[in-house]
Amino acid sequence: MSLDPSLRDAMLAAVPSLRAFAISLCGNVDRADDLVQEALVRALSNIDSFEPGTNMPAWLFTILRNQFRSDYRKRRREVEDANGKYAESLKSLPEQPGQIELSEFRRALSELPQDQREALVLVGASGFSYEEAANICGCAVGTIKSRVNRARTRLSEMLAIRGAEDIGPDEQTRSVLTGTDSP
Amino acid sequence: MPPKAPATQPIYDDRESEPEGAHLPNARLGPEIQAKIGLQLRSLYNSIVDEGTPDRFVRLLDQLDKDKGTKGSQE
Repeated sequence: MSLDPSLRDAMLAAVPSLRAFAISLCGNVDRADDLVQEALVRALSNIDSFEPGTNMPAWLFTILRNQFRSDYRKRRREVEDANGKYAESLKSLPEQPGQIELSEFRRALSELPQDQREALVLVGASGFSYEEAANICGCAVGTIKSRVNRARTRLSEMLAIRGAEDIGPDEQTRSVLTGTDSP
Repeated sequence: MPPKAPATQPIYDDRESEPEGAHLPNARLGPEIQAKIGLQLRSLYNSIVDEGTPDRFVRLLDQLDKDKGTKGSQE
């Protein structure tokens, strides 16, 4: 039996955000792509357990996260070594306007505990609700909320400290922040 | 065009629902720093999303689907 085209399309459509999530988990583009690949293989072999009409991205995120977690336990040592290189590897990501600020941000993000980082990314960037994020992470909604909160608090502390020693407020950024939301 | 990732929710729509966890120590975040965190987080994330779906994943799904089909018809 071959894959329903609508499921195939839904899986492919989820790939860009799945990659972004994977990179935020492991901090490495190549490894992230491997994670995405493993998740897709796994998803396809379990496609019968996907309920049509439910949230495909959330289903794939859950698979990918579980995959990452079990890999993480297997290669804890390797990951610990890699942790120091996390910020470094993120530097290979595409150049952006506001590069200096963004690289500060990347570094701060990489220093968050994993639970907090993934909660923040799921809710603050992937656009999942707290409930969806809780399902993906297999924990209570309140846990996600407090992780997101702690993540923000820590980031703001790190960025405030670095901001003070580094860069003053940038007028352009300020006007963007106080004005409309999208770049 | 590569298919766009579905934004399942408006991004960063959670700021208003903050207070539930906001009793934590040091959870005193100014709106400016909050906005800044959100903006930078999404900027980083979207820089990857904007790369779209690399071909290798399209080929992978097609290949897996074909393998599955072949296996199925042999049974």
